[in-house]
Amino acid sequence: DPPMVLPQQNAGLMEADGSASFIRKLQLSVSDGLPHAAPVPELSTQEHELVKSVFQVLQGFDTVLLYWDKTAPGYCEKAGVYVSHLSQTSLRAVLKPFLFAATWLKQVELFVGRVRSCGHGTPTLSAFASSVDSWLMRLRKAALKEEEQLFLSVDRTITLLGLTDSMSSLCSGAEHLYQVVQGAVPDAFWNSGAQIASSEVAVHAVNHLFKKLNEVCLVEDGEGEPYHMLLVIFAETLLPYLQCLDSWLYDGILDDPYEEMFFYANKAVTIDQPAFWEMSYMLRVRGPRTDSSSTLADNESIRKKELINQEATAAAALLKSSNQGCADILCPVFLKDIARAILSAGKSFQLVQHVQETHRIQTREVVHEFNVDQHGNYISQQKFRPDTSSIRIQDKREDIIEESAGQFGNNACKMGFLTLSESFLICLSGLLENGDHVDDYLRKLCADHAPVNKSIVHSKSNVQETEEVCGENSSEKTWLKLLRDATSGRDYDGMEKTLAKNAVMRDPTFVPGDHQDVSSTAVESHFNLSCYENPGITACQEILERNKNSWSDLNISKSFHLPPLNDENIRKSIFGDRDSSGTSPGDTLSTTYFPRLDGTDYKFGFQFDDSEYIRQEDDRRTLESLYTFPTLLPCVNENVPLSEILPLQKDSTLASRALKFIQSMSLRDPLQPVGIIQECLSKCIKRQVDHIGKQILSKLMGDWRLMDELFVLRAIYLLGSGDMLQQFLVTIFDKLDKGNPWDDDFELNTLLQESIRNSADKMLLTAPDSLVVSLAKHDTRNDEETTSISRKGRAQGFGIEALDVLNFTYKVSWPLDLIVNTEALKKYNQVMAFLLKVKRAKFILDKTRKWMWKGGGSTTHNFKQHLIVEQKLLHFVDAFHQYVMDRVYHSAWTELCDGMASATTLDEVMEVHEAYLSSIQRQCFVASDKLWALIASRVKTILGLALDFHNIEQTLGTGGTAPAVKARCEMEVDRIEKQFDECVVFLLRILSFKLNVGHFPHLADLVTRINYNHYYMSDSGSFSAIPGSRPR
Amino acid sequence: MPREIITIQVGQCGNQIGMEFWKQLCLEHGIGKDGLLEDFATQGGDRKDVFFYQADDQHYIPRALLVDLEPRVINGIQNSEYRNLYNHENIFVAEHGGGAGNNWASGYHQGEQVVDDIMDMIDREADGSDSLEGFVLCHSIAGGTGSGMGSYLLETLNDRYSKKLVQTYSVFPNQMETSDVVVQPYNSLLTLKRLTLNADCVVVLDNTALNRIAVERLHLANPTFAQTNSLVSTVMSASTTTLRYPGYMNNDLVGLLASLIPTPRCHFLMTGYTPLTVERQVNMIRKTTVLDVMRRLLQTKNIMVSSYARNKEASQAKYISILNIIQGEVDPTQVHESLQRIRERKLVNFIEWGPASIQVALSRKSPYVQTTHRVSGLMLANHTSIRHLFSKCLGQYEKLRKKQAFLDNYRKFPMFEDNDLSEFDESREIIESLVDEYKACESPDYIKWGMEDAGEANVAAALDSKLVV
Repeated sequence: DPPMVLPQQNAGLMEADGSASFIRKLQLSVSDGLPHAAPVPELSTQEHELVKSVFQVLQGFDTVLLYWDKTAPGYCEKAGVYVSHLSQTSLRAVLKPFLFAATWLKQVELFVGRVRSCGHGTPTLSAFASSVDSWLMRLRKAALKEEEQLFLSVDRTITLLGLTDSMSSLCSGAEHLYQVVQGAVPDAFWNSGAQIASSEVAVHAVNHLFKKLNEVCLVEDGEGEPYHMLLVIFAETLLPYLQCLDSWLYDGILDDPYEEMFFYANKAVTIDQPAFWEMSYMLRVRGPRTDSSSTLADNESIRKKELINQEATAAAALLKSSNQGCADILCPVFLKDIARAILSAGKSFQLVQHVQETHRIQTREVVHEFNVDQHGNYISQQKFRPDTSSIRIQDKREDIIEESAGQFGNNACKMGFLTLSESFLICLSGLLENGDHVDDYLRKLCADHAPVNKSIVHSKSNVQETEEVCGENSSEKTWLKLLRDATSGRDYDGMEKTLAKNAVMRDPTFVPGDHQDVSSTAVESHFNLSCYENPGITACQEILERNKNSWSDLNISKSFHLPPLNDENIRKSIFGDRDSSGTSPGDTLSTTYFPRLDGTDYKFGFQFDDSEYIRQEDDRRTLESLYTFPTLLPCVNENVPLSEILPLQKDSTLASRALKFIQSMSLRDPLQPVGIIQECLSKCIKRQVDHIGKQILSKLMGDWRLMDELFVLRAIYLLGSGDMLQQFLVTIFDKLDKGNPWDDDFELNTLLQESIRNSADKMLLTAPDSLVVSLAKHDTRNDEETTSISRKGRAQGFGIEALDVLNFTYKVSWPLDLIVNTEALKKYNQVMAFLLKVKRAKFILDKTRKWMWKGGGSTTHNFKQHLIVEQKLLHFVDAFHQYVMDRVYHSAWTELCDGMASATTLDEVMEVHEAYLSSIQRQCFVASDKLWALIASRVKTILGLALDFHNIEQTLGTGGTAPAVKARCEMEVDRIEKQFDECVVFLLRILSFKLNVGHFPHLADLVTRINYNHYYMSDSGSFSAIPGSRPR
Repeated sequence: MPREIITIQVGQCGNQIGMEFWKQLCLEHGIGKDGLLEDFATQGGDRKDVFFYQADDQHYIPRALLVDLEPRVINGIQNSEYRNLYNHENIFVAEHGGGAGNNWASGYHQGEQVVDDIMDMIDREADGSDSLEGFVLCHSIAGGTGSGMGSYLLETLNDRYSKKLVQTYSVFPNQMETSDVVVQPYNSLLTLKRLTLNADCVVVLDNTALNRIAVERLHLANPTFAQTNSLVSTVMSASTTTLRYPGYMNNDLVGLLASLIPTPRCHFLMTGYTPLTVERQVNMIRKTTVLDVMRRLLQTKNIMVSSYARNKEASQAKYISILNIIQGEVDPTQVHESLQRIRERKLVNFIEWGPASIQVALSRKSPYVQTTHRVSGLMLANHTSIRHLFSKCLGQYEKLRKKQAFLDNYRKFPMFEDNDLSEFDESREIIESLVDEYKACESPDYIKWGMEDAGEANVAAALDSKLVV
């Protein structure tokens, strides 16, 4: 401020020297605005003061010269500050990096404060803030250390320029730390924190760090420090998230009180409901609005409403499609690929656990369960024997069970050995230190031993093997050491053995008499500075190591020989003479042996017998081992990690020690974050996911007998058991043929039970009443049609689609109803309805043919033509039936068995079953595709023609038919033949068209069967004039 | 619903092949020689009650009638290790035990005399069935009892059980060598009339072909009747597997046969089976495929009916329909490929007047019978070349008739009294008509054949009405 400075100066000068000389006056007037103007003396300062201020502000303090300006916000220098040998411009340029660094560190400090002070913090955000704060303190501690070094060396003079060189790494670290903090938290969190979802905040922070890590890694000449900082912060921030994953993957428990995970529990659905798999746990997705919490609330209410409306199936389908369509899961970006697998694994875990719990509850029914198993095994055996596909499944199932038995130990070891967080950090340590693939070692370690109580022996053995393999026997790897310490620290049996060993070793060193020397020697030789029982010693181990000559002074074992608190002897010596008449014989003996010692004369010391002496020695040794240096008080050292003082506490886990190691190590080449995640985290998660998948698969194929159940469904709904429903169907077909009423529920079920009971396959069903038939809807028209026996009415009620109202319900028990749910049974019924049409047409045509064999209609002059028409119909039905059953009963089942054999998760099992249902639906022309609909309509027309033909032949066969009726019947036969020919020609055209058949080459098989002798179509594809060839 | 079948064994040959058939069924279903279920037979899933019924003491008893006019064969059965298997009330042997003397007329007449006793037995078996589907008759057409008495039983069954199916396994005589029965052409012709008019399905088993197969395929120098009968029982058991191990198709008799007989009169089927083995070949394990089986079934050397046609006529012969029953580990895609291959190579010559194809029935195997082959197959075929066998019978009949040889033996019985030989003439006309119809099937214009021969149809109707009287 030149104007400010000059007036003061002028005023001072004028006041001081009223009689200034001319030269003085001339100098003042000339110096105005010139660069060599002299500054105000009061604002001059020493450079070392500025250096000191720089150190102070870097540590977050305010000084007179440099202060925190809240309005900026930032650190500013006091106005007008200057040093004698630097211009103000130069001074400002020199100070700017330091002020920036101090500002950044202050901003980080404020950020941490805001996070900690807000009332809605989340574990991930807290972990992030803690990690950032530790790095902040680390950077500021570096400044403090630099300051101490400076002022301790008196002869050294530091300048601002010199400080720039020594503090450059600190300044860049501050900048990077600030950049890490910038953007780590969504803005919405600060404005209205209660409105944003915790999962979004957590995912945002983790993704932000991951992105930064990738950016820093890509810098070619990037220094190791920013990468190192980011890596440690990323690892620490991820730990709470991994803890939730750990409890979900290893315990099947969603321990997420702050709702950070990418999925949440839907408590309205319990584990024993069919909707469990689809709706019990929902993925959190980023909604269309920025306000995700509100969106989730709306979805929740909508979902509950739908559940109340008993539309669980529709809701499940809707959610399934929405889940598949919407890929924006609130999930860390590096876990998105396996997010669904993680979700399924936990649910599978719960299913397996639930079954085990149910088994424990039903301990009283062990005999019953045993019988069920026996029965199941028996059924399984006879079920799988006739079908080669099933036999193959049986072999695969045995393999799965065998493998599962081997894996069980793995699971037990895995759950008790390392958590997901620990696995992640220990793998990261090994990867960063030597590029070691610790995951492979862990897998080998877990696979080697099954019992947990042998972990020490095997662990040491494997450690030795690994060392030999690495070829570095001289130096032990840090991660191996950490792993061994963690392993040994967790086995209390081993600890007891160690203590016992120590106790035994001390006995031979006992030398009576020389108390002080013995104590010092014993303590010195067996003292362990990492003694778990005495945290004080652990905390002071450094000081103790440096002051070994003081151990004797600290040890007070020589003072352990204090007199007992029992003062009976003293009392007796003082007041004994008065009661001499009451002395017991024992006392007399004592007096006799030591007459002079009676009384309070202690000059000969304390006297005790040998047994008491030994007891005293034992007590001393116990005290010595438990309370070595009992008067030692640990000095204040607030930054020592708890993992060293209290190794068995929660905070002193392998994770914290691994983190400390990672913080202290110097990185060489930065690793790709994707590689780190893949090597240290994804592998662990996938291994556990695969393990759970194997467990659920072994349950499905073993205890739960999924394939047996599907085999039963195949026997029922695909009419695979030619005998189970035979009596039922033949009776129904007969009633339909004669026009009798058949739609009574009770009668139908009675008929069904009788058919099952008389069946050779009745043992397929665990209970006869597990299969129930019902009518899809109440049809009042049947009553009218029963009364009026008109032809039209009969056709409506007894046509080819008459049996579509039948609905068979097979009771699938939990948990197989997760796979074979209501929707699946509906599809099975659709397939069955189609197959029943074909079977009925075959039944009807067989009946007609038998009737013709027995001479029916042989006297009519058109008998040959009727034979031809009947042959066309029957040949088509036979060929079509054979084709459909080959595809539906055999090929689809083979594909199902292959899919089940290669499935690894419950989701995949469901997909395989869904594909199976789609396949059989398409083959039975139930699918909604246009091509299949065309084919289906023609096939149904032909099947209907079979019924028409049979009815006509029955009419003709009644004998006394009027000639007019006969003529009409002949016309009907002509119509049937013409319509049949049209349908067959259409089918052959459409099935022979390559574009249609391209996706389904097996349709050529149908063409081959229908047109085997080229009756309808020649090899070149031309159609003979079938309608014209009919004789007249 | 069991859809029971009652088996009627008539004559020496009928009882011999019937006995082999029941042996095979007991082996396949795990039934012991005394009718009790073996301890290992716990699989379930098979329909024993189609051919057996279970008595109150848990014995499985064949639904079978053993009928003969002389006691030698049935005595052998009653003295064999299977003597406790059969229901003794279902065994009929003529009291005089003199047999029919290889005379159709004698067998027919004796059948007429004892029909009440036999029908009582049949009625009792039918009453014991929940849902009887039909009858299976095992007999020979060359001797006296199987041909004559069998013919009478066919007529009676057709009359009393007109809605039930009647299927026969008919053994035709050896045409190549001099037969012990010099009058077998007479017997064959008379029996063929009843097989044409009163049976729904006739499985033709030609002894000439059976001997050829035994010599050439099984390498037996002098095959015995037991060995050739074993071949027949193989065919019988294989053709009934889909009834006894029901699947999704072909699990009743009419369903099995419907596709084979599109025109009622042409109901004579020939069979082929592969692979054929005897005990000494048990150690030969082959990797047989479906295509191998289906191709071999079409080779004449595996077909149990000899070809008597000249080369020109043989080339014109056509298949009316084919049903292959395949047992073993079969993949349906292999079946499809086999059908495609056979079609492409034109290995089968089918009729042209209607749709026809090879139907394939996949059947389960018995879990208790060990076989040396993974896949085996039986072919049931309706082929027009069967007419040459009938022509052969007609030719031999004509030779005997011209010489008036051995007719006195037939004149002794009521049908031929007063030198009334019109039964022979009527039989000849019917068989000639059958031959003509099979020949017409070889033509694309088969449908016009009935129109031109309306007169013959009327004659046939008249004959039918006369028989009813």
